[in-house]
Amino acid sequence: MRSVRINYSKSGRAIYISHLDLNRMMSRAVRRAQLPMWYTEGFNPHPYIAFALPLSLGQSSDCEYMDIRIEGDMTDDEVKDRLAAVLPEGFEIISVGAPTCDPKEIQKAQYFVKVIFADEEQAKFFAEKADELVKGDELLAEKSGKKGHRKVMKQVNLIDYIYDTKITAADCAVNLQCVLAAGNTNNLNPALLVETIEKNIGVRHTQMHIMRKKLITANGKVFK
Amino acid sequence: MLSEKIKGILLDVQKPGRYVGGELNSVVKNKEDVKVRYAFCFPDTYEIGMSHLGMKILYSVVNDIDYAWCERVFAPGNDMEEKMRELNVPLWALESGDPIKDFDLIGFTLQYELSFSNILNMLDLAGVPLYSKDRTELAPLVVAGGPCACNAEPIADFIDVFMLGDGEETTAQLVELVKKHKELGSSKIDFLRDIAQYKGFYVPAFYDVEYNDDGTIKSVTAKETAPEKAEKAVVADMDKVKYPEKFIVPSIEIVHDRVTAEIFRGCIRGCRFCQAGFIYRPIREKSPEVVEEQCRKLIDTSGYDEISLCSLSTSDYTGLQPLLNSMLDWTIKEKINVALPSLRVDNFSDELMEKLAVVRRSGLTFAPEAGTQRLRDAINKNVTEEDVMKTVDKAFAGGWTAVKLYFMIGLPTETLDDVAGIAQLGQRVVDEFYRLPDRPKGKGVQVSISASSFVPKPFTPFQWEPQDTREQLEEKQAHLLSSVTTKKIKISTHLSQSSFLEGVFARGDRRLSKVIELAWKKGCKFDSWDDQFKFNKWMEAFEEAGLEPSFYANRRREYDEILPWDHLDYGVTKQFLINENKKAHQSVTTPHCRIKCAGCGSNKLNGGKCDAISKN
Repeated sequence: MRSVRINYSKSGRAIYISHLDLNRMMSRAVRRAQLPMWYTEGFNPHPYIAFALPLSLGQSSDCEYMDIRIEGDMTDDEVKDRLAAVLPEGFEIISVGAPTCDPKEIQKAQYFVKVIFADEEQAKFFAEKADELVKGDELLAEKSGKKGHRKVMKQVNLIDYIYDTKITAADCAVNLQCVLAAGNTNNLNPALLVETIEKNIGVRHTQMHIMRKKLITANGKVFK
Repeated sequence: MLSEKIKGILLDVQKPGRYVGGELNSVVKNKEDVKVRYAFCFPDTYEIGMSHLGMKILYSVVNDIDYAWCERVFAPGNDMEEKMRELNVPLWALESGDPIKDFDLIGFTLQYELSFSNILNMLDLAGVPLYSKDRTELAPLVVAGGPCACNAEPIADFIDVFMLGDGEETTAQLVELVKKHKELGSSKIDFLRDIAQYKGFYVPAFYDVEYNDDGTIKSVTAKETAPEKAEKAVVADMDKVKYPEKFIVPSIEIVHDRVTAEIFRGCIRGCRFCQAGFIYRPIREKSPEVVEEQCRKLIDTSGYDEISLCSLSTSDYTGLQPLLNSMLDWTIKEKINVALPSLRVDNFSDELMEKLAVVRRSGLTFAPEAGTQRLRDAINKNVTEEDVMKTVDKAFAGGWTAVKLYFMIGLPTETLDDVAGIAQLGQRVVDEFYRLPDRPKGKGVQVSISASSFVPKPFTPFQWEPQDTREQLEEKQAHLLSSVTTKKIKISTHLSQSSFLEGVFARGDRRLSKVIELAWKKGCKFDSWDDQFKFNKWMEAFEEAGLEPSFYANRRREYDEILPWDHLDYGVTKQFLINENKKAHQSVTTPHCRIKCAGCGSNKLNGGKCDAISKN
């Protein structure tokens, strides 16, 4: 038995598949691909599938990672070919290989966000103000967190979760490139960042496209 | 392919995955190559509609035709509907994202009466006029089929063509006729005149209905090219008829998310309350080799890990043992669960029990339907209490500790003693568990009793019977609850109000079209969802239309009354149903079709053939 890490992208109509549904979808995909899956032992054996970091509904990504365990000596290339042949629309396999680090090491993620406004003026205004706000000391937002098993709302300072930002306006759109805290302990969804900035300055976008570009570990390496 | 407008609202609604399409094995064709576009509409949510086997079959029937493209449409949730109306986005089909008002065919499947209001809502959301008479062009044609088409008179004013009986062959024929008339440049009436001549199609506008002063039907007169009686279509050979090689695999969770293999059509049992048991006759079995091959293909193309062998009474399938013997070889190896719904208690063999225990254990459900032997005889549910006990013995010995029992209340001839009998039967099952020396150790027993309310249906021996009033049903429900004395028995019952409305539509006539329109205008939709059902609005609609709902639900009909569905021929003869009705009132049973052919008449639509006789 060995672990195989599959790096894939999610885009188009597939972005509307939630993380929970993705799990079920992938377990069917590995069956269709007839991969020699290793099954968990226990009362209800199922193929071992684990994901590095959930992606929010509606976001696309180039850096999705799924770990599976297989038996026998199937090569990485064959795993890639077989899986690529059976995945539904919106999923592309980028690479298949042995895992090099643990998903627990993920600390940050890089995103490309395109925020579209009704007119050029609003876009420019947002870009200017957003740049000021993210470079300031405090940007407060309500964030859902856990207290024991209960879900609670808590106030957090988003500045603590922002590592890097680059904001430019072009026509009605604002391009926001950012590196934000990601992982199990600290995580900031770029949608919350944009909406918090909007609340502070009183504008509202018409469309927003979020794409996750890469996952970064605590020691600054790209997760793969 | 989805418009920017649609994309813009997707993240503001619950479960956007319902609305985007793009699932594995969904069919996308090039619009330029397609001559007939078919919007297959299921008048309920995605999760329910996608679970439906008929849709999967007909989707593949149409998409197998080069020049036709079938796409799927479901009823949008309320949050989505609100956005659609606000932004003027007409109802679209999932595969192309195109508005269905531009399609050639809009087809609805009629699975339950309480989905009628959703049909109106979907037509309205599509921007298509509701009434057939207001749609004067050839396209879009609004058609409908499925079990409720056997009396779809309540929606007759909205639908251009009903498809009666098995849809595999008639759907292909429909598409061909549409293509022909499109090419000819025919008018709608030309098309209707043509299609009305063929078996399996029913054009309601070609039948004039006159009423007596008391509200009953005086006459139904066929006109134009329509036959005096419209016959249902029957697929002769289940081995040769189209069955999909691929199922669409939904990306989001749906209700029945598995491979479904139909093993036979029809039912030998003749339970007098059961509409499916009569309208799907005669019996036509699929051979075990064909079933297995279809399962194999569907598993390979879907990646599902569960197969459900589906029919009206699975243990009556003559090929069940050979099928399981052969199939379990590979399903066990591949960790695929095989589920057998609709088992009967009287022929649930040890061997079958063992086979089921090999694969993953799911719940065990039995349907004695009535609490006493007398009533079970009256409804012709040929099951004895001993059968039930023998089966639960085996089940408990086999390690099961939870048993579900299905009953109905409000059955014809039922008394309060019969109702109390339900609780007593449940108690006997509980006692049986504790009496058994080899019961599963360290576990309690849980008996779940579901008591639904009986609704008399067309083409059954009970089609003349009054449905219990809501007051009667509620009294019986209360009596049942008070008859249970242990926490090991859990009782669930149905809303008597929705059963009442179901009863009205099941045996309703054409005048109800008005009521449905009025109720829909008052906001009625998703009536089968308890949390969305607006009974008072429905009652207002009846009042405004000047119709009394109890006339349809709670009235006993005479045998010689003209019933709203009498001009439809489903094979089973009226005389047979009358005889069965009389026997019910004498609590006399009719043996099942393999013991003795009861002469129901259904085989005449199948060239005299019925597998209950030929495969005996």
